[in-house]
Amino acid sequence: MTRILAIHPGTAYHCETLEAPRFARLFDALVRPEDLGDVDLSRFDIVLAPCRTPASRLAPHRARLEAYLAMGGAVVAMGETDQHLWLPSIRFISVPTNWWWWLEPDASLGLSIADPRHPLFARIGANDIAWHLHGVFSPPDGARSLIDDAEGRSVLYLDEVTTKGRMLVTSLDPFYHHGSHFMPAATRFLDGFLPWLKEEF
Amino acid sequence: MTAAAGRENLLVLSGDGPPPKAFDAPLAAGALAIVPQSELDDARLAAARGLVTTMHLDQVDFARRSAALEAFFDRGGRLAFMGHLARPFLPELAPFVPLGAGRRADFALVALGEHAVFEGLDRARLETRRGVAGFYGRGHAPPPPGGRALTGVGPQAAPIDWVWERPAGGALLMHAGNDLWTVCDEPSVNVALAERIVTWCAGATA
Repeated sequence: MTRILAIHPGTAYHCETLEAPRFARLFDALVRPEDLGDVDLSRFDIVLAPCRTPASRLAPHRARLEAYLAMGGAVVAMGETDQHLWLPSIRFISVPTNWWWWLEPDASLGLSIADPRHPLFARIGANDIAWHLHGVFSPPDGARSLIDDAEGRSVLYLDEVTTKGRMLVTSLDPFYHHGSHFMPAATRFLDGFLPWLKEEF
Repeated sequence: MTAAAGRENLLVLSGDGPPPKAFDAPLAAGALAIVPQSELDDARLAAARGLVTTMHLDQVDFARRSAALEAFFDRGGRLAFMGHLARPFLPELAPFVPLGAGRRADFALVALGEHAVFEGLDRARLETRRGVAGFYGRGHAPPPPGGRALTGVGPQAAPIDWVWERPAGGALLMHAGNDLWTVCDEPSVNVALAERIVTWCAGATA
């Protein structure tokens, strides 16, 4: 079991996702972004920044997070957090969000599982990754994309090459949607993703 | 100028993005000021005439400011609160209660009371976007005793919108859903809702 430190930015949807019984047991500790400097990160295997954590609240801790990665730590950086402002080697391309794709006959958001043999996809399937697309990444050489968009650009990837640690980076924002009681696919994503982080990552 | 007229109306922004376009006019007119939540100190909060908060409010921070908020209300301050109440910031408040299954009938809206923010506005116009229901809100926060329900949601007409005149001073307008200035397909309706919220916070409407 990994020890997960989850950053808690304090919105209603963060409270719901991080504190309600469905997922709370998976987080070993919660920390306010402003208090990251008071925590010994080496006690944790994963530091997780949930989606829609404002980058302005993470950027002051960039050096601290890079030091954590340099000693082998893992950072999980969810969507809508402007990761390029607080993590290394991030190349993010914002895309216009089609909020209404699912109203079009036979439409697809175009997301696909890029690496079906990866253990994450024993827990989630193609129907659990698609709600909105806010952006894509151009991962560094050697990084492994797990979810791609229709043009083959990464939506979720694992970078074990930039640092001695690991960065799992995505533009998906399931904490926001699950915590808003708004998107069953986002809930299904977290039902598989968070236990996978806890048990296998 | 009265003391109230000299006090600020503040839109509290909790993310890194720009202010919502629906507030352009009151911002340009000086009827509303933007303040990032991280830069809002308790003294400015307590001295404000009105506050508008969004569904992205850092409620952990907000609840820690209960003393400043009580001072704000004691001075007659008005707060328009958007979103799910996760951290009640006054002793009279109770947390958000989500709706059940999310069937279409669960998202039906019904007017339960008159208020300047909703005056002349058919709730049916707010019930769907592109024919899809559920954007307005998906539950309610129970109003305190004396709270007056304005909009009901679902088969039980749970009070998703209400206004509460706090006995010790001030008032709270609760909308337990997505930011009110985003709920309609018609942009002019969203702008009207934003501008009416500002007018109410300023004390110019009852």
